[in-house]
Amino acid sequence: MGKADNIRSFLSITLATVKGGVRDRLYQGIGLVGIFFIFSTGIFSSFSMRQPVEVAINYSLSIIQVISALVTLFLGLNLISSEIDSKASHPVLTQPISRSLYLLGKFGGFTALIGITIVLLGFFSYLGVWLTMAGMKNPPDISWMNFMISIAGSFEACLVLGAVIILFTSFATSAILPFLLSCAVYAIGQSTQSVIRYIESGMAKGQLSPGLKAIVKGAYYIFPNFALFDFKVQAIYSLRTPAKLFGVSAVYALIYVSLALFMATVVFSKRDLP
Amino acid sequence: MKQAITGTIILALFIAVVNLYPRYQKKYEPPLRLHRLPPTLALEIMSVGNKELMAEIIFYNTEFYFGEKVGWREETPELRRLYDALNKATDLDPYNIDCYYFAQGALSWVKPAIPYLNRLLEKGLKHRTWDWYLPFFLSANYYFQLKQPVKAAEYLKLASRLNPRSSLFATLTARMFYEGNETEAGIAYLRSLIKDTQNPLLRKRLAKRLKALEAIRYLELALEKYESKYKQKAKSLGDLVKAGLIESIPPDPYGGKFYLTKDGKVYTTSKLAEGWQKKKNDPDKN
Repeated sequence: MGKADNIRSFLSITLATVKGGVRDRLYQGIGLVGIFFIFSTGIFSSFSMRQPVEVAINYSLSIIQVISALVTLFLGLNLISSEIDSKASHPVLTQPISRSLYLLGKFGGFTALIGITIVLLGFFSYLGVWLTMAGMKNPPDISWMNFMISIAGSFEACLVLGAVIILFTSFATSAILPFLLSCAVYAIGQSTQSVIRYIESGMAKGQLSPGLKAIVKGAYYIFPNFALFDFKVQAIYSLRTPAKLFGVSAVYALIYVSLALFMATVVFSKRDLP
Repeated sequence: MKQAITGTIILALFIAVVNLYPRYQKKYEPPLRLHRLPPTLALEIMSVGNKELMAEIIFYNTEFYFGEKVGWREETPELRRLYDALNKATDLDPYNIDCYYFAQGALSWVKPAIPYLNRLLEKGLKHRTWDWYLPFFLSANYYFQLKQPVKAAEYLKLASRLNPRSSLFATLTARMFYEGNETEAGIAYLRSLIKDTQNPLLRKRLAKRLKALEAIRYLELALEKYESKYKQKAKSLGDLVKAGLIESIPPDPYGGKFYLTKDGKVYTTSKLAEGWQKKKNDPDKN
């Protein structure tokens, strides 16, 4: 197969994955969430005493993070596991395309689906925040650029989580194991930085054995550090977001995704399919 | 037809239950407590990357607790627990002005709480370097409660530098540091806060305090008149009534009684305070 054929195969798998997502009524669900978003943002922020707009942004970005992580989880798990279970992948895999190309095509489709999901959620959350501000006499200055950077951070986190799910589904025989492992990775990845900082601050002196400290440190380097993609505080309070920090998070995401996908393709290529 | 009758009966029962249960709920309701929160690190882990939202939810919880406890049940709030919750919320999100604002509104009237409150506000000041509210609050706490005018002046200067357009600082500085009348300064401070407070419950509490300070100022002015008229100090507040300078001693909104101390100052048995309980453990410890 030539390079052009590879690209064509990659694009057709990507497109098929996107179509599958649309067929599964993903975006109808997102639309419903969006309506909930628009109305609930104003209600939630109305209980704030001094910072309703900041609370609206806080709420919106947190909901985006939670929903996009959930969508990633279910989308990621259905990408390969369910297709193999239902033997839907067999017609594709019997074609003269490599398994790694199939996996990368699937990840491409996943990237597009999650990208559209996050853009839609971002738009709905913008409407929610805008409506909150519309009812105010002197709304504070909002950094919409920071708002978008924070949403981009959520996208990066989803890509990393998606790559990890693909890695797990590449060797797992059912969807349950990758689901549990992915949840664990997400929870650990969200907290390793806090735990490491707690240990390094000296507050945990005497509470943790050196062995446990080494395990935590190991986990910090092995599991994806999702705190690196968190730019919410900068968006909420219109603080400066250093471009370098965002750049570092993007490079980290890229390398982590590449590594996870590389490992996934190696495992998947050697796997016996039913 | 049968279906319609069944549906109507169920609907009628539903309406009856919805109307009846709040009565029983109120009758058998357990005491309202503000529960102790887990350590900050645990809260951060539990937030799964949304610690700012967790901080706001903790603030909402304390706000609703305070509202129900004070506004609805008319009970004394557990201010110590409230401080603990707000302290943990600001550990999660040190930029959250709701927490600092609410802490100032609820705790600044309780003298034993002031060192804790000031530590909380100073934490906020480290992060919200642009916000004049925090040095303004610190200034008031140092001046009125800790009686440290020099420290108060430093914070007021910082507040006026952060918000040079506000005329409030000039009024307060004059009252605090030149005219030397603490009650008048307190009245000026409270009026400015009331003007700026949207929360009805906090406004009500501020208005209650303002009413108390205005009563004290009313008595202080009558005492000054008494002194200039009789060339001697009044021995009790009753002397003011007897001299016809006031009709009666105004009531203390906090339920206490105003009296005159040996050094001629107007005090009240209520001490204008409520709700702070001393505890052995340092609240800052997680």
